[in-house]
Amino acid sequence: MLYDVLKAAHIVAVIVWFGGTLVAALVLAFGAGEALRKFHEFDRRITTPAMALVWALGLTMAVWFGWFASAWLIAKLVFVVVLSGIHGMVSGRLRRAAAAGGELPALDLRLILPAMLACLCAIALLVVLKPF
Amino acid sequence: MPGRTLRRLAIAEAATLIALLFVAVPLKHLAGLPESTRLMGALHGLIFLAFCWAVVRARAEGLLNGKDMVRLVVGACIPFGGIVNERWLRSRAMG
Repeated sequence: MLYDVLKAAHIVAVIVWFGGTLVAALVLAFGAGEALRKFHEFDRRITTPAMALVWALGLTMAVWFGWFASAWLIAKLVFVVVLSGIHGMVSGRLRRAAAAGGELPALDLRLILPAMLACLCAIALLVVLKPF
Repeated sequence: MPGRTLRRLAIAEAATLIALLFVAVPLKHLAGLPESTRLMGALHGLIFLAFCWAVVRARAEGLLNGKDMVRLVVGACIPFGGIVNERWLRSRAMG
């Protein structure tokens, strides 16, 4: 029961984190001025704490229920680290753009969005199928 | 304030690594408490990841260059290196 509650909270945090990162990347590409400042605030108050919650709940479940012995989890962690790196990059640029009043060159989404989607697909497949 | 989170995480990372190596590991081997490294290892892992995330963010923010990133991450892997990292960040007046 407790495991299911932790898992549900983990999934909610993942949705908020991924959605927040996606919106932040879109704002960096197409937004300007006040929108950058507002989404920087959203990233600081909602998206980044959601990422911390994802990691905390995920590690709690993995340690508590012994998932670290499974190879699929290690593979999943690689994609979560990449996704965290993308969020860190987007968050840093958003912060810089908000401070500079949008004077930063717009973000090129051609690599970021496919990379985010690929990571999400890989994570979902590894968690659901647990292939190894 | 730019750099404040990074400095706090550098200190937290150093503290958890020291606690892991000098408290949890002896507890495991000398007192037969394997849970100590399991819990402290997970906590340190979480803080280390948060520190790496903050390094990536600071790079994207333009506060660090590639060499600085390597220096900070390598320093974080060495016991007491996090303290050196924090002092170095403070000396750069990053907040």
